[in-house]
Amino acid sequence: MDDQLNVSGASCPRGVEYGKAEVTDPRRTVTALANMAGMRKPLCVKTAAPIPKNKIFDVIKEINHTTVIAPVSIGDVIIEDVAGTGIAVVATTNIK
Amino acid sequence: MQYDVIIIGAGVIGCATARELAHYNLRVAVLESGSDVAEGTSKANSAIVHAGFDAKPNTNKAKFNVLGNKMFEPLCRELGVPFRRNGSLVLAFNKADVQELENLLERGKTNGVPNLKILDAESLRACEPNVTPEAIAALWAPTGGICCPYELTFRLAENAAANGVEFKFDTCVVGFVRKDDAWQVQTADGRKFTTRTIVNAAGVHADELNNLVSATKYHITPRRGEYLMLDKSEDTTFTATIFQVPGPMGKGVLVSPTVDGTVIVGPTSEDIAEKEDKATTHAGLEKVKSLARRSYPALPLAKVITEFSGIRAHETTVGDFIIGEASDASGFFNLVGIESPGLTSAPALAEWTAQRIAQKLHAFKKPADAISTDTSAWPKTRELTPEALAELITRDPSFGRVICRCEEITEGEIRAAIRARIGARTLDGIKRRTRSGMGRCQGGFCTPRLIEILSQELGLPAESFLVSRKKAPRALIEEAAARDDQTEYDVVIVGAGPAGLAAAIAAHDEGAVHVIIIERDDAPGGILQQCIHNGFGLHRFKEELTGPEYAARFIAEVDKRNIPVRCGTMVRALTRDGSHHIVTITSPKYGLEKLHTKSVVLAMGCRERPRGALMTPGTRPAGVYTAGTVQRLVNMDGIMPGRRVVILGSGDIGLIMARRLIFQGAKVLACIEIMPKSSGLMRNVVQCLNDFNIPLLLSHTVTDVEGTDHVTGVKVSQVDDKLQPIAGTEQHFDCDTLLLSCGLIPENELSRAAGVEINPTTRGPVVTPEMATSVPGIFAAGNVVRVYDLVDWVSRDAEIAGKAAAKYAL
Repeated sequence: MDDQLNVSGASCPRGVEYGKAEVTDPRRTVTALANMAGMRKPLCVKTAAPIPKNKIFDVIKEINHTTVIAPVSIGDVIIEDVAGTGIAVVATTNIK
Repeated sequence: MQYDVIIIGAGVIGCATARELAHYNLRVAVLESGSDVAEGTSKANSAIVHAGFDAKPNTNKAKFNVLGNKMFEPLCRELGVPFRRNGSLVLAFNKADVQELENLLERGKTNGVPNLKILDAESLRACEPNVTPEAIAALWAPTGGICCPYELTFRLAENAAANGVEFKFDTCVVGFVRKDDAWQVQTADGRKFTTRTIVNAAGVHADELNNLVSATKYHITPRRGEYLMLDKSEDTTFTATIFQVPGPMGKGVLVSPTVDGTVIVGPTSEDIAEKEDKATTHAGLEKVKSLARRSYPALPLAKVITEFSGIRAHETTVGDFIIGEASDASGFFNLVGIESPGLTSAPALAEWTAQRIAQKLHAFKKPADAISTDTSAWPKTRELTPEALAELITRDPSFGRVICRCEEITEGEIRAAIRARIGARTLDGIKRRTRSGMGRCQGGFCTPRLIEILSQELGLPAESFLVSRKKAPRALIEEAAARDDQTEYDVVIVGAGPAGLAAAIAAHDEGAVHVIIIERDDAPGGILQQCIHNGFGLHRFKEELTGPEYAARFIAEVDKRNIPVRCGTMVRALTRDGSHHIVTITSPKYGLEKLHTKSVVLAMGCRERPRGALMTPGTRPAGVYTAGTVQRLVNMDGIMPGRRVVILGSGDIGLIMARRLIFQGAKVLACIEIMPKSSGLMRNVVQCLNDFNIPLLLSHTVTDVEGTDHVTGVKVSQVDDKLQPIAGTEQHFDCDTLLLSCGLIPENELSRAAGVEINPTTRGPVVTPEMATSVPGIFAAGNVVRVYDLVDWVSRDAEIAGKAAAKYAL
């Protein structure tokens, strides 16, 4: 990548976009564990969209401090706006 | 497999009929849509054995009530079920009521009810001092009684099972096909049972089943009755069952002692729209209270321990019990519209129906000494003398540990209830078999302990018993569903990971009818269950999914096709019998079984290379794990193994676990790779190591592991181009955990034992482009063949294998 944001070495258009974003606004989809009330088993979740990379630990902290009551289904919104990113956190598994 | 009789419904009617039929040389099965016996009307009713003065003369209700009442006492004695002939009283509050008592007396005499008598106010009060002073007379029916309807149903079923009747729960009948001289019974989950005759004892749903086969249509209106239950007390409120004369205020409610010492009050009578709507209502309970106070002004509301409602099968076109063979459906025997006095009539209806079926099938009765009297009874510790209890505890200490303090139920009783022939599989199942949770705390104290015992006895996680009080856990249902009469399969798939799931779907879609997946874990999904990170499915679904999400899409497709998944089941051997393969499996519940199949898909996946295989020197302390083990501990069990971590090997799982452990609050000191480049995907190096400034030491390896009990540190050295450590390059890391991510090995012990040729390089079976192995009829898919980078390609190749396996079978 040069100063003009010309990306080289990408093998697909998605790669070009990814390369540009890595420089201008690097983002990550965060997957983590929230707590299930009354169970040792944790609940796996993800951010519904990539969040800014510098917010990863704020997001993780908020998720780790969230407790959910069963039942939960894939796609259920666990946090509506995580760490002020405007992005939701959703469940990625079903717990009955 | 062909049955002589299939009974649909495991309520008191179905179970009583099953027990009668078990006395004949007949092969009998009971199919029940619920997870237990007595799940419908039989579990929630007044528990009264009616004398028989209420039913209109010359109806089935009148005839079978009086017959059944006579049979009840010897039946309950035989089965060891509590029964008490406490007598019934019908109260009259005015002159019109007294006239109605006369009518009931006459009706009772016509029906053949013995010893009916009308009492005046004085004699009434002499025998029941707590009855309202407003009552001016009463009809006394000494043959009225009380029993425990679910305990009766349970013992009927146990004794039927002891005599060879098979019970299949979670089996919902949805259709019938008449074939030659037999019926094929079809279930909601796609199973089929063949039988010569059918008994329709489906309670509130019996009309629907009749209407599937007969031109004579019936209609059941579900009629709900709400009840209150009062706690046991020292002063017995009433001795007899107290009824009210049906009057302008409705049918009235009863107040009655129960065989367990509590007092039952109710029911209301309300026609409702939904057959399974067992909710109680404010209005209904208020009505119970106000009507009950007519008989029992001192009704102590402080003693109410629970409310419940039951649904009666009220048939509206005939208004009587509809029994016997349908005129236009040979071999289809109805027991439709069995509402009150259905419980009382059950023994007589069962005997009558069994006799007619035996006649039709030319069956003969087994000799008396060939009929078992066993009912899986266990000691009820609360009824034992102190000496007997002490002796029992000495023999089995679990009878000394009280689990339910309200009803004094011990661990021994609860375990016996689970281990019975038709054992409890749910909290409600234990409750009805033992009374644990039925007392004044209503399970407040015993529920956690019951869950623990259920979990131990049935080998399932405790959480699975919290999903429903009355529905058996999914794993048990799937196991039971898989255990239909099918032991001949088209395709047996070993493993319910991504490869097994995709192969099963493809085999089914190619036309294989009998496909089954065998899985040793508690749930399908394989390793994807613990891969909570995203990045799966970009090729397959054009979006990034996490592992559980990717697996869930395939599990949903498997469910949609009703393909059984037998979890908690291990394949022990794969052998040949002519052109068939025999798959030997074991499970805690069913022991050893042999499945015959035309083809097999091996989808056992792979395992991680352990420390021993790496020959890393040093001590052997705790704290050394393979990356996948830690992935499961952290992501599924919520257990963190350590705080300062070094990772040896830069395989994808190791890289991903570096990030996971950081997210869980650990410090990852370094990732050590012996090769000059990472073996993981580029995106994982960037997003799991670089993002968090974790050093990746290429051409390095761990040369010493330190610590006696637990890891205290590791030594790391650079290696030369022959991968040998270079002296003088050692560095030391203080860590409490060493994670190994040094490669995966296809799991092919079963394949080898089955004679499948293995490629020494990939360590997986040699396969054709159709994924066929060297043994005809055995196919392979997924990481068992070679270790894949992307699950998307596993699914794709597994579909090829599943399709080829189906083609081979058909």
